[in-house]
Amino acid sequence: MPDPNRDNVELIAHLMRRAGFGASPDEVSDLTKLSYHQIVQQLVFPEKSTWLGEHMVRRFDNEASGMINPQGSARRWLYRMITSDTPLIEKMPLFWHGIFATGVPKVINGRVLSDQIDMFRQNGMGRFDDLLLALAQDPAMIVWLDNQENNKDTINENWGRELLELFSMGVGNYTENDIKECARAFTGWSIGNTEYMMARSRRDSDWPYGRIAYHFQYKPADHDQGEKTFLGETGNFNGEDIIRLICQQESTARFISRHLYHFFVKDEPPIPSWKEIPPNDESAIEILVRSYFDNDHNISQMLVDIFNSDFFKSQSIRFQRVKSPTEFVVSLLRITGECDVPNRMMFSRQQQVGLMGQILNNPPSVEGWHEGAEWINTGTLVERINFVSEQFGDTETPRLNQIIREITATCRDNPPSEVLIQDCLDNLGFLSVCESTMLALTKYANEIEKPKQKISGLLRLIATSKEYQLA
Amino acid sequence: MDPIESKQQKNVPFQYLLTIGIVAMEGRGFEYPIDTLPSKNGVIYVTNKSRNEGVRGVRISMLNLKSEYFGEFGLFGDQDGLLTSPSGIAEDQSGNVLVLDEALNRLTTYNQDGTFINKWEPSTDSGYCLSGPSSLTVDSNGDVFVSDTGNHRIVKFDKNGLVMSSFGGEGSAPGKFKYPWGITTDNHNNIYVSDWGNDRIQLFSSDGIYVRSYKGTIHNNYNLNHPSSVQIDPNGNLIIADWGNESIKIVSSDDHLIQELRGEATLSVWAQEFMDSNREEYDARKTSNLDSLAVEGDGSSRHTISAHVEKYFWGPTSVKLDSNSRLYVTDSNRHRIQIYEWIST
Repeated sequence: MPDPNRDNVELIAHLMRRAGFGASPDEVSDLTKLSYHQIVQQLVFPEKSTWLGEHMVRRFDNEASGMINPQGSARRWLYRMITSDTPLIEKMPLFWHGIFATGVPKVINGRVLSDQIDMFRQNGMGRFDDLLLALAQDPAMIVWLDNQENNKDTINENWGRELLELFSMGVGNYTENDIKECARAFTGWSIGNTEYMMARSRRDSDWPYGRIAYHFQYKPADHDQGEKTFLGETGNFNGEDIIRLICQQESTARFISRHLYHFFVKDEPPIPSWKEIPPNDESAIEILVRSYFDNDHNISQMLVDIFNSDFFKSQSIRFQRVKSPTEFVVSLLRITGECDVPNRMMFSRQQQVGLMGQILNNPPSVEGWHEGAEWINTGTLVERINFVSEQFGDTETPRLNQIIREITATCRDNPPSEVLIQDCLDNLGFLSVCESTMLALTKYANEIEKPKQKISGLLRLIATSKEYQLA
Repeated sequence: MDPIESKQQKNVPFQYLLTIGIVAMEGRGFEYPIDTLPSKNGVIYVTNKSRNEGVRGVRISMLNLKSEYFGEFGLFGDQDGLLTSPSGIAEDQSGNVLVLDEALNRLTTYNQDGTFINKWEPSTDSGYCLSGPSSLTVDSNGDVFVSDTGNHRIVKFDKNGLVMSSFGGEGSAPGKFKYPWGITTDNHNNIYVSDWGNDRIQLFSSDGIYVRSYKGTIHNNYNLNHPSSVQIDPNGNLIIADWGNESIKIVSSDDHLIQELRGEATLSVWAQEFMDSNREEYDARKTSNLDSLAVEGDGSSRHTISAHVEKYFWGPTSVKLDSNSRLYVTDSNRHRIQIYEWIST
């Protein structure tokens, strides 16, 4: 007989894994006082937070503040994800970073990359039109796709092409001429002090006083004021007009809907094959496309509709999506508390995320990462296992000690192994495991006598199980 | 116009003098300087925390007001005399240099040329084991007060390094702290603490009894945002490094804003030498507008604005006064010290 309370707890845990980075038993217990709809509202529209994290990371990790190199920028972001009390607000930049992939090889200034992540945080849950406009004016994106070299006399198509192909409509929904006209409309969209910033960038110069952030500058004298024809419409278009026309397209709505489904619901095939391979769930995409148009292209409302949908709550999609390296590491560090106060371990943890295949601020190409099962191979899996061993290997750390004490307190008098295992599974996010995993856990629990060693060993085994690699 | 500039008054106690520094991971220059000691012998000592991920750059730099560079000591390591994450610096009554290490949780003493003398490292059993100590000050009796940041308290040592007492504890009530940072004493040995996490300066008597707080309200025309450091000028005014607001605030002892500094850095001697030998960058720099306020007014935080405007303070972690009451602002993210003259008013 299903236990409705248990069902509710597992549904909340599922929501927190997907819309955040997982939740502890105490956090889930607090959330059960709210209805599911209220939890969704709280995630998407959180109240102003008193969270100290931004100040903490700037104080205790000075490179995460000054950002001479890009690692400081990534570390700041990682710390925010680990400690944030508004997890969806921190997760949305991760979503957009995977789509609007911008990175170190060309934008070597960490602060400029950080400003882009901040921009995603500020605009990533509003109207898609506003986000694309902010993206077009984002200095990291301008440099990444060379738009400072997109001049009225000699256009550079990089930004125009990727805007249509990778950032909105997708291949097959526009012509080569649309790309050229799009590029013409964005001539003069540049950064301030271009010559000095690019001179420093070429030499990777920190001198004299560290990095200076870039700012957007529209240069009207370098803008092509002529008439343009784009997607069948003709006018004296500037960049804002192009974005307005793009956001009116059905293909844009489908493109963004499929991305949201891919990130929050279930892994889709790699993006380059989307033209040939239909979505996993066409009806879900239709619902999201309708939401996009019914709500003035508002991303927040699309998120609300996803999280409240039957296709999201369905048992059939739970533990079916592979956690990205960032999700995996962040979810565990939120449990073990190793980096609650920024410390020197943050450097190693950030590197480990990279060794697992996801260097923040350094996607492999403008297409971003290929996600899903491609996150896992023999090398990256070993990195995940090593990371788990480090996190649960030392039973004397304050947080692990506390977890072990709590589990011991609720499981007095030498409880049966299955009770102890269930408690450990709940502590790692109310996991459900398959029969073979359960057999392995039971065998281990029956072999080890010392409670402390047994609990830390179980936590280590669970976090390395295939189920924990999935959300 | 920057709203701060409009608040500034003509008859103000501090006026910009010059900038010292350039970013450098070793030798002449600074890498994330955290604190400055303008010592009585004229040598300026600067603690460089460097980047958290590496071993290079950690050191104490020695120089003077003319940007003459004398060398460095206290390089990266955990053996005696070495440092992992140097933070606060001060000098004792004998002119020895005291340096805190927030990673090794100890205080190291050196003589004036940087030779290791001793280390103070209270044991766990004593109950005074330090956790991330960030700042220190020496009162007129020679006693040393340390901001024991991770333990949210102030620990008092005698001049020989023996722990005498502590006060504080975690919280937001009067007398409690949240990650305290800068600390100083006045002529009467009253103790001022930058209660960083509670956005206030707290004043204590010499024996650690709470007296009052400076927090700022709309009525006295200022507010504080995670202050990192505090000093007292010859007129008894508080000089506060308002870290979260990227500015220095001069506040009267009866709690009114007198002056706010946003930073006016110019090219230092070392920076100018770099520019003179790197003409491509210098020529491009001369045609640039580095005072651009392009992001100001769009809702950007002061921190973000300072990332764009090079002359502004960006992460001011410490304020110190020398024997002539010159003000030294450790401008951490910009790897320099901005120096202001005190105008007697």
